[in-house]
Amino acid sequence: MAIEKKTEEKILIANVKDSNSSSFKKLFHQFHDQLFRFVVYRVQDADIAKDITQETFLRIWKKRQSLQPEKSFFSLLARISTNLCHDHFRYNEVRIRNKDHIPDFGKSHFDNPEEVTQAKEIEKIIRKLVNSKLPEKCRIIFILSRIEGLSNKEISFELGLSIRTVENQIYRALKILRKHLINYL
Amino acid sequence: MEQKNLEKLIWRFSSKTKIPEAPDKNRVWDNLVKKAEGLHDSPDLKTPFSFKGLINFSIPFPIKPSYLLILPIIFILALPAYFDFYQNKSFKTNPGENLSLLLPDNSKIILNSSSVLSYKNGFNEKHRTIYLEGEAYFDVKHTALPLIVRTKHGKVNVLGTSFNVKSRYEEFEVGVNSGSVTVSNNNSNLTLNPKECFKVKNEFSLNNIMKIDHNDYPGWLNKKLYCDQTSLEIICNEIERIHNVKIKFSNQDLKKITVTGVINTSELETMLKTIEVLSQHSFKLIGGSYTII
Repeated sequence: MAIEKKTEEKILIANVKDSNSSSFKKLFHQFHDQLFRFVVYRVQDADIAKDITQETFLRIWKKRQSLQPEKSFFSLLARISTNLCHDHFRYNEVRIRNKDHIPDFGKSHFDNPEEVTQAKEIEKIIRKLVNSKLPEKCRIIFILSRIEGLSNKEISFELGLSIRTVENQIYRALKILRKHLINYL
Repeated sequence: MEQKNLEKLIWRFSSKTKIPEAPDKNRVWDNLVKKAEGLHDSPDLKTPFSFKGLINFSIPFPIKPSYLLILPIIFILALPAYFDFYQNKSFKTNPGENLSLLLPDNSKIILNSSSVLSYKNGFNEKHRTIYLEGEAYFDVKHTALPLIVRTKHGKVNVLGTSFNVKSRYEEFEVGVNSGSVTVSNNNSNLTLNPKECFKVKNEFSLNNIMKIDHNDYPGWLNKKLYCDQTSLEIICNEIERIHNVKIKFSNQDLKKITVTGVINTSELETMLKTIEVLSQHSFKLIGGSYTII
């Protein structure tokens, strides 16, 4: 790496602001998959997640004039995609009524069928709580940590926060989740 | 204790969610290009070149005792070179490639193809001196330190303005869009005001200030080539640089033909066609390079 990642990101965002397509392409390639996983965790449908991910990038390009190069690009993606997710849920109220019906992605690694069902159940509840009970910032950090498997240091770098903030938010997330999970067990 | 266990459980199961594969990035990108206005499928961006990356190598072999003695010696011997590399930041573009830069002082620079730009450590702290070979457009933020662009032909001194500097072979050109700049070499200096352009060939004589009579200055930024009695030799040099192709002359006299007009440079085909019309000579593609006949 010739240039520190954050500096490069800043330059790229500044270029996108000036309508530079290649810089936008680079940012797109860098963040697309991560954003897709972030969205799919929230909407739980690969096709919808695909659309929302694409729409998020489209919106950024349309609003490129108001980009702020100093701010973290992933925070911006997370914010826009979250809004789109809310829109999606609003237009699909049926989905909210049936939100207990969550499609399964792949198979679990557990061998015992009973354990499999139980593990799936707990995972499902946690996912629901993360999506419904955690505050925005807290949720982004928690998903990056648990789903993307990023270290606290990497998250602080990605979002432009201090490591202490990241640690606090994860601690906070666990506390909130624990409080609500008790009701289910 | 119960709480601790519950947290461990959350921690463990929260990473168990199975996430489907992300869709093919390239296909999504193609879709975006179709939908977004003003978005083009441009070539992949290269990371700016810097000497700093060169020193981050690792030693792939296990260190034997004898190396322990040699390594410090190599290190001491290489120290001056190391510092020289480390302190310079350098950016380079190949033919057919432009590069936008954001400097530590928030000044913006767009580097034209086949150009090299560098500055030493301490930029914006101790100095604002930039070394340029080739051509670049500057949009300089005003700070207490004056910004100096040094080229082999002379230096350009500014506070906060936007301007273009070209220093290629024998050509030296400085044009100002806003603010004012001072151009100087060992013997003389002069001041340029907005919409003024200073052009020299071979000799640094100072009666060469012209008015910029169009709004698209500098042309290369707007994908245009402004020709005013410009020789085919110079024009073909530009095409080779912009589109990374080779052009040959079937007859050396053709080089001296001059052309006047504005040529759109965004596409090679249209560019060649325009020149064919203006010069009354045609291009032929022979073995990977173009020849004018």
